[in-house]
Amino acid sequence: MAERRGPSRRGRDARAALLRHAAERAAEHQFFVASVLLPWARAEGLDDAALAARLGCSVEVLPRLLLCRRPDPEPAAFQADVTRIAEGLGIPLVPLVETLRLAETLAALREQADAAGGLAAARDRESEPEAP
Amino acid sequence: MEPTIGSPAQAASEQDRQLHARLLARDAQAPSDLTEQYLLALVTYLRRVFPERDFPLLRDSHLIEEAAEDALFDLAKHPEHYDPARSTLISYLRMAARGDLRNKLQREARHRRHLVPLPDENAPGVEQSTLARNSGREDTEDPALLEERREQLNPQFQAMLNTVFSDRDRAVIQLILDGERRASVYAQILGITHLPRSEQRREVKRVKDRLLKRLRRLVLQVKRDG
Repeated sequence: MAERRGPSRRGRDARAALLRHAAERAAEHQFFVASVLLPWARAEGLDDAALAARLGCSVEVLPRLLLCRRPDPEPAAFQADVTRIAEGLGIPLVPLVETLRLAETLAALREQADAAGGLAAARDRESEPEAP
Repeated sequence: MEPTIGSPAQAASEQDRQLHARLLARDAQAPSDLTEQYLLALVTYLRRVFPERDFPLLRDSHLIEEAAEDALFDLAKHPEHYDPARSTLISYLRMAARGDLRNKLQREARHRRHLVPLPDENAPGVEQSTLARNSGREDTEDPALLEERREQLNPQFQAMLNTVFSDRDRAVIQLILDGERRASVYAQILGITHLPRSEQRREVKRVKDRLLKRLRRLVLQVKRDG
């Protein structure tokens, strides 16, 4: 049996495509980094290459970052979580911390807006005259 | 519980346990490592068990990928659902992904039924296509179940595997069956990560060749003995 020296290019591409798809879907779960980073990147008009450049990492590493657990918001835990991710994935710490903080701010604003929108909609519903 | 080669209740490897412990400890990188390690193997497995020729609903869809992702995401969020003493991580994930894919297929079939009424509402297994039901196959059950049965090796063979192979060998065989190709993964199981890469590859190849040769002999013997 011939031993392969590593995954073929096709295999690597397939694996990368799967991870990218998973990262995209992880954005639907608040549990994952993707849920804060991808909406922020879209709002900033950043594609994968631009986001990776901003973070100082390769495009290949990006899905792995997006699939990490979203850092705990408590400051000490946030720092520990981001440091763990940065060291584990070989991403420079400072741009990662800065970018995640910006993204978390946007996420918090969006959540407040959603809550306010929900409240306003509820108020509208309450003030509507009842159907005969 | 899903049967695995070697033992119906094969416990998790040390690697599984470590990853699971990291998930429980809320290691921020662990969900990413989990996905990276198992996504391809899970998708490959689901494609094998749910072939498009039997499940046309899977054509041009991402249902398989999504089922694999959902199984991984669920474990990442709820690692306490998995018990390493009861099964390997890949077995647990396969079982979860299979169930999820069946549900997705049922939902999709229901959705399409609203668009194009099916001739037989009581057709066995809504996820089975008309094509599959008409294929003349004797067993019209879910192919995933057939796959499970295939994996439920006959007791004699299973007993032989338990006798002939060590836990480590069975873990290597499981990796081979899962389609794992990375020598580094085998090297971890074999405990040879301290060796230079080239030596690791040589040793992995040697072990895989040896195990496959012994497996082939065992299969022949079981066939011969009926």
